[in-house]
Amino acid sequence: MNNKNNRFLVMMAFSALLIMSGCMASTKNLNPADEVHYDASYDFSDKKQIVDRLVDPLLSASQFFPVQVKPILIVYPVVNETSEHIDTSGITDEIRMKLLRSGKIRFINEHQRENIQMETSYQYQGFVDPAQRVEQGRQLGADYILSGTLRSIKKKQPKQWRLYKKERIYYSLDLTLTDLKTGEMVYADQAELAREASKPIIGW
Amino acid sequence: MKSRIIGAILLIFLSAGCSSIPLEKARDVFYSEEPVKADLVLEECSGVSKKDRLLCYMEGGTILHDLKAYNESTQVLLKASGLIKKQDLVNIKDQSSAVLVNDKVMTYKGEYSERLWVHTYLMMNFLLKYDYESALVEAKQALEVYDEYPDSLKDDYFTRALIALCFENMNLPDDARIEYERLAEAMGRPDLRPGPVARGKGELVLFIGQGYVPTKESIETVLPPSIRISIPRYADSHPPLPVSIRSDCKELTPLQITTDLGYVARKSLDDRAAQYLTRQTLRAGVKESIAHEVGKKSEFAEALVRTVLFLSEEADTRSWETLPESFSLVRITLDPGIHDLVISTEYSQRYYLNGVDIPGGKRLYRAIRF
Repeated sequence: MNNKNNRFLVMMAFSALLIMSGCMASTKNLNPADEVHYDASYDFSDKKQIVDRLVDPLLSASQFFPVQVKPILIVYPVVNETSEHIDTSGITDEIRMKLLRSGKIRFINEHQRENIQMETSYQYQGFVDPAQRVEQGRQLGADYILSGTLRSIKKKQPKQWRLYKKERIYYSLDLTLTDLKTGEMVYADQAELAREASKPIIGW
Repeated sequence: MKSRIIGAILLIFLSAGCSSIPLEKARDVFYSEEPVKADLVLEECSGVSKKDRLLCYMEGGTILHDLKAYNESTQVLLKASGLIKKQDLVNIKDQSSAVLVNDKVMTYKGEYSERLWVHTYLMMNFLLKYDYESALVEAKQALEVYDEYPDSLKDDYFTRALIALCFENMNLPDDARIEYERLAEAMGRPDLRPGPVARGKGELVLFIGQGYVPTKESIETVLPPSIRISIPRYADSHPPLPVSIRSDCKELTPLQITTDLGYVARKSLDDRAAQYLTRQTLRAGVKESIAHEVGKKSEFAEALVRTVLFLSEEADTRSWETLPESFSLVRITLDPGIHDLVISTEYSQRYYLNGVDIPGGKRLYRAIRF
């Protein structure tokens, strides 16, 4: 009898633990360098991978970035031509940051153009000491335009008797460097990613 | 034992009767032509039961779109789009309750056509905000829905033309050409491809919605001894009428591509018939065996159970009700500058678009709902 009671108590405690563990909220830190994918769609792990694959070869293309003269680049936002709402500004920013950190290139901040104009106009409205005013007409002009397009091809498993739906997605990011003076496309590269994911057809 | 069975059946019956009151209220306000209040009602879909939440997002998205609150409409419809993907599985809990009660207790997943129109509205919203990249994303998602249900959706010409327009805007002429070819084939018409905006001209693109989409109704059949069969069907509707457009007192003949939403919705429901008819047959069998089992112990209890099961049988008549009856995509080439336009239907309804400033070499978007 006692044994039976003990077994019952253990079972109850085990069930209570199971239920409680399912109800508990949890938070943990992740290493951004770790690859984590919950489904086949584009995520933050892909951004890092795809940018690394493109920027390193670009930096080693020494003909565009001679040591003595640092060329000036303007980066245009990466165009999203995938079937997902992806914030491509993250890719653009990461490319710009990696290139800037290399010390081989200078950049024009096209995002701040309006603010620069506003600030310099303000300085010439008579509020700022003339000796401290920024000299107008001294901004740098870009030598190259860096632009890119993110594309995807999605393929779903055909309809048939199955328990899981499989999906394959192929992503590609094309990066091109255009000489602003001649309009010539002087450099082009591509990074690719392919992934397969499956999800159950039946659930609760 | 008997009382437990009866109790369980009554509970199921009561839960089947639970309706989403905020959703009904919002629709009533919308139909009473006071849509300004409707968005407040739908601001939070939290009051709506989980099984009807998709409907809440869809109705909310349409109402906000008609209020010209395109950003808010987009936010709500993106939730609808996400929910459609999340709910895209066979839910055992839903299926088993449906076999015992009726299809209305199931989580609403949207008809095939409604799943497409979530992307249609999103495309329109993004185009109206000149966010061509996001419009293209929706165009590609809409194409996935077309690929999944080609027969049910092939008569939605409006969405196909919208997809082609999204490709044109992103300077993807080959993709646009493919969509125009598919459109011409579906409509049985020669090449529908409009040329690029002519030099020194501008283009006005109108999204015109007319009327209200037919709602679903229930078709009832009673078989002895007490088997009730309730099948949903869309009410009949009239084919859409063309709109006429006058600019600065001149009649215009723009490219006009129209979809009869009622027709496409009806076709979608018909193509899903095998699903709900199988469930209906299974349910009739289950209900009959429950009544039979109870009847072995008491005739009175059997009569009571039969009444409850008979009354609980109800067709799933839920649908996206704030949709228009038809959608027309109208593309008008105009000289740059200010224009006054009058858009009218054969029902003598008129919409005045005064002071439309057409930019040279560009497209201008407007959405109109009659």
